[in-house]
Amino acid sequence: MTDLLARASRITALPFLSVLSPAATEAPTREEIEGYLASQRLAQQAAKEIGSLLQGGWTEEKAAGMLDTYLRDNGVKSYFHRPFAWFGDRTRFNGIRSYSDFSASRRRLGEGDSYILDAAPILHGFTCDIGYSGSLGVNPGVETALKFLRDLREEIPLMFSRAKSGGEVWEEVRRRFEQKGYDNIHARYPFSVLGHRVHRAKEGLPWLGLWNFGWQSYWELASRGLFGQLLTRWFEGELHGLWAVEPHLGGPGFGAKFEEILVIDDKGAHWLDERNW
Amino acid sequence: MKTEIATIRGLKTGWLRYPSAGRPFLIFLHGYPDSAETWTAQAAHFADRFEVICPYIRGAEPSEPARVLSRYGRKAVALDILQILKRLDPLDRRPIYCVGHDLGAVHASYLGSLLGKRLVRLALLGGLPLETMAGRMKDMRQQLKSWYIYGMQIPFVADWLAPRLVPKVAERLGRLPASVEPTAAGEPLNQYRAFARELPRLGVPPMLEAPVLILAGRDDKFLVPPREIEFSRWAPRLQTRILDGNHWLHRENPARVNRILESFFDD
Repeated sequence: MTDLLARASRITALPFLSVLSPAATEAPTREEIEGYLASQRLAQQAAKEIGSLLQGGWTEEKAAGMLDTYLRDNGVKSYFHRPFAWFGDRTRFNGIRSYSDFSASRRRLGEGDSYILDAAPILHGFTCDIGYSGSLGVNPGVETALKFLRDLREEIPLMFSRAKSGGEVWEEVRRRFEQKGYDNIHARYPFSVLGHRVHRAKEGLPWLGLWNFGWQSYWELASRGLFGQLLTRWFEGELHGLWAVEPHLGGPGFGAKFEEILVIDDKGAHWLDERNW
Repeated sequence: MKTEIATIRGLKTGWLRYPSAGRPFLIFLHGYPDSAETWTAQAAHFADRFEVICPYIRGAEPSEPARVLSRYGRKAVALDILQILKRLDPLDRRPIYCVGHDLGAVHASYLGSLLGKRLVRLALLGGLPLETMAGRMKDMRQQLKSWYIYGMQIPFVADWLAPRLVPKVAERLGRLPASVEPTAAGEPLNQYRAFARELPRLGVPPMLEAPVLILAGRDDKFLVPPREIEFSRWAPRLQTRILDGNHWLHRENPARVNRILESFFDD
């Protein structure tokens, strides 16, 4: 099975459909870089702003709703996936058993609780996917985890430059988590992805989607063969292109992640936005 | 007192501010067709105890109108006010008292659910949470008093008529003591349209732990007097008072309303 998945990960485009959905392995143009950057910076700004406004008693639904309001007020019409908000032990996906469980719930934020805000807007046709973590008030565990993630962020481009495959990077991140005593929470995502490609996407039919994911996400990934678009532990395919990388760790009673776009081209790997937000 | 304007999520947004560094905030939210100046008597009375903030709701000059309807809805207006508060108090240290009139009461009750323990008191004058109004859809007396809301939903016609008719209706029926600026009757009517679109997704209003006071006029031409049973699930520490008067209680007899609010704040 793993052999099959590894072979499937080498597919970057499908016959006939490649006319509509070409392989996303070309280096982005300068105009495209600007577009993705604008989309990502807006999403990060939104998450930071809403994160700063969170108060005790907010539900996940309310937080996700306000994040959606902020993004729409700034021109977002469509999503790769709608905003997620997870509080407390739901930030390490405790109690999440099905796709619908990932949706923002009525869980209320309490003092000291960790939180994750995750949104993937499509702004003027450019998809991004960001994850932002924090805590309401002081949480030493979360603070330590965020410092670890900030350091890991510095190392991830080097991992991609050195590794023979995306699967090796997946394993390396897992080892780093293990060394620090953290659980690998992104292993609990669908297909256990450490990341996924991002593409330019159409903004029409914004209401069409499933389980918080817009039709664009299903189309953009599946029309290119799916497994070549997902950074799984079996990934052996072409790495050039744009990836939303999302290492997600779990500690006692909390989880933390970051997510942003990584550009991989002939020069190597580098974050789309060199600022460490 | 000064008028402050900032660009919030791309739109100019204004508020009156009676600065008082370090004191708790007292936010007054005006209704329709009104503007921040409606609270002049209350702001002057409370300015020595609080930092008084009177935002101009979206579309009421100088708050720039929006092209998208959602900017007039509860979430967007609440986010406007939260972002104003964040500018004035970046560390979220200061407690908040909030008063809303008419549609301002709809916004105040939603905002209150977002303030957590910072909310000390919430007072609603001549207005109720949107969930409560939705619960009155089968109350014929309320529907007859809310006749104008249906008219507001008509595109173009309502936009043309509102600045011409609404001030006269407000003065005649609601006994609004002073004339209304046409801009206050124009763009802000979009709040009614935005609320109508929120109705299908309403649930139970979020519980408020802070004390809540609801004031209504016995002769209010637009609102059936509230009954405590309408609020017991979301505001366990609730008082309601029905006063002699019409819709603009705080303008008809400002001294009386000031006394009641003062007593409520001190209780």
